[in-house]
Amino acid sequence: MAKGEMPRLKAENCMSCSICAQACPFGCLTLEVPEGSRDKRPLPLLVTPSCCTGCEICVKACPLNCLVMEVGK
Amino acid sequence: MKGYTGKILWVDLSEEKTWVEEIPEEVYTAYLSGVGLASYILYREIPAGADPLGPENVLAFVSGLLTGTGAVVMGRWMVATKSPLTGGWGDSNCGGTFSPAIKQCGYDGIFVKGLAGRPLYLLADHREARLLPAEDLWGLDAIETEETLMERHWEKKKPSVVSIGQAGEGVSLISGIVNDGGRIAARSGVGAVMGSKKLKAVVLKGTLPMGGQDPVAIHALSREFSDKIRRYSLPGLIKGSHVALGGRLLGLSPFNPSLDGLMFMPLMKKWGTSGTNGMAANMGDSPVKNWTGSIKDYNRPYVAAVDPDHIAGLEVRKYHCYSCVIGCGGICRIDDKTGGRYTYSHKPEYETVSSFSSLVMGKDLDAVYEINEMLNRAGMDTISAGHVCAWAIESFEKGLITTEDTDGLVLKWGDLQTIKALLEKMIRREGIGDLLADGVKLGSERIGRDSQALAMHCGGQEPAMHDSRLDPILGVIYSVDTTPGRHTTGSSLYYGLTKLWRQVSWAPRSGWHTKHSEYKASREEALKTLASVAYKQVVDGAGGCLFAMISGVQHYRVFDWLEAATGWGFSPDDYMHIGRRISTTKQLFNIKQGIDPLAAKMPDRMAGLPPLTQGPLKGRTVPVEAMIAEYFQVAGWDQGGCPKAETLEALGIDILEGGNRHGQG
Repeated sequence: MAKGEMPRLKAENCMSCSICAQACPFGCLTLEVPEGSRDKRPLPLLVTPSCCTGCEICVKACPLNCLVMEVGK
Repeated sequence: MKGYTGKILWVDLSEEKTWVEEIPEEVYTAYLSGVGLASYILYREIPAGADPLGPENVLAFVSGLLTGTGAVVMGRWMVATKSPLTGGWGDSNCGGTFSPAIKQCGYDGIFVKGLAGRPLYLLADHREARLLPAEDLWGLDAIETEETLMERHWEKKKPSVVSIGQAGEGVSLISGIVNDGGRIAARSGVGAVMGSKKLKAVVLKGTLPMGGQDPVAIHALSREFSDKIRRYSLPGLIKGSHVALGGRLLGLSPFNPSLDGLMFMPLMKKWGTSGTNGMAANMGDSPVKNWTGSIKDYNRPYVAAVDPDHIAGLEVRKYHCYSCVIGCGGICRIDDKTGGRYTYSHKPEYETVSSFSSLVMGKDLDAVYEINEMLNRAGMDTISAGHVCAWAIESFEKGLITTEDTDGLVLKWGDLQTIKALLEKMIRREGIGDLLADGVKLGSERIGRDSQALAMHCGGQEPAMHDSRLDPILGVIYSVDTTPGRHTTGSSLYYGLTKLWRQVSWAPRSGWHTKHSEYKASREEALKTLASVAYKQVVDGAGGCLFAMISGVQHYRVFDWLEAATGWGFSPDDYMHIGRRISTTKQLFNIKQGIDPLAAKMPDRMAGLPPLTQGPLKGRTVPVEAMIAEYFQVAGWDQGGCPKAETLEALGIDILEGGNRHGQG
């Protein structure tokens, strides 16, 4: 893990199963409906980036490979 | 990790203490986890004749073996107990986030016994479990309780909370246990058991990792299923009325087609279970007018009134249970529909819509939204409550009860405002509501005057919104399943969709066939029943979802997921053997508790005696006694429903040695 890396969602793969959010031991991820969403499906969102330790638990937990680690902006 | 933690948490409310029991691997290989593990523990722990509302009864909250392994649509939690409604095995199944939360505390289940001397709630994480006073929560509805406890205990990770509302506190025998803002494990009277124990809530906030033996294989299976779910969506131009028309054609057809269950998934994605409102009504699946009528009684205006597009129009967000890639749930904004009483609500399920529409001849979806939220908050089963109302209206119509009994309420078919008032009384146990809050069996017995004949129940449990005259195997399940009156254990429809014969050597093939052929007692229909029952135990042991299950074993690959998680080297037949073991253990539980396996036979009305004179089920009669006899035969149970000695030996139920088996000892 490079310093400052955080999970980024590849939304096109995500099926809103929330496995990632449940796996995160720090409660950093929550599921929210993106503004303007047509299908009203909630997607995982890093609500408090500062709480993310970059542990990658969420990335490994996601069965659909929707999360990748990237240096946060 | 093999999908299970090998530990359960015990809570004794009388002593206000907790401890951990380690469960040997052979219990999991014999019973899986989930409802199977519960059957093993409850058979062992609950003595014969225990009062369901007394200290000896055990209330089990269990997770599934595949929950948390990366397998998708495997997030159901289950409650099991001795049911105060039936006196026998009781369980209920619910989505939300509670199932992984149990495992993240390090347990496969939480087993609660004793009676608290004061209201308490359980707070647990992976380090400790504590009982805390709940006097300040007593009297709150389930959603208020959940919100209060969330605020109190949310530090880093959001806790998972299950609780009872006023119905459970009042020990209503038709009350359930609620989580995730109104999703409810509603059946078997599990809320009454929790209320009798004065356990207001369970709050879980563990953060332990979960997993199975081969995560790469598990994830690959999950991606395969998810890709199929993603691909199949309904185009926007398909409306609810089109689905209803499909139901009309199915109702008219002399054949039952062989369908790929995957075709139902777009319906679930778009509308959830309410997508079948019109279809079920048109094909004869929805019971009408307390099981006396048919869709012909009010036909098109009804189908238009319950059109799922009305509900979809109120949806502000989709709702997925933990690990679910289908997402049949949704949150609706209903303040305009409820005069501002409630702002948001889970969208009403098909069962709820039908309970307060076809069953009571209602056509007022706005009232259904309010009733749905009211009952979810109080923690009362909408199916059972709907049956109580239908019975009350028919009894009133026939003069068996009057306004003197109903505290002045004039009960009429379709009058949902009065039904709402009756339900309020039931929640508060006020006046006639006190008599009726324990379900239609006890309610009708309390009223007497021959009104029991109008009470539709199977051994005390009100049946679901699926007509046994449409689906004869369902009639067998309603009558003699270990949890009678339940629609989720098996049916002709589910069997055809799950396509078990593709993986299970002894499961008979079911292709296109005449409807007429289902109404015959035969070994083939009995084997379908047995396979449905056994497979549902496997799915409930895994933590799976009924709706994903009906997509078929070729898509929702439960056996393969179990193998990837455990590495046991079991075949589908081996897992079905476990399913039969679980079902038979539940039957032994009932016999130990003094239940006559034939006593819950569905009322004649539900079997089509006399048959309906119009509608899609016109002339249909289910030969239920003969079908039960065939089912017991293939299950290896005697004609009284007691498992035979050779069956117990073949199923290896010697693991229960030392327990009070088969009514002996």
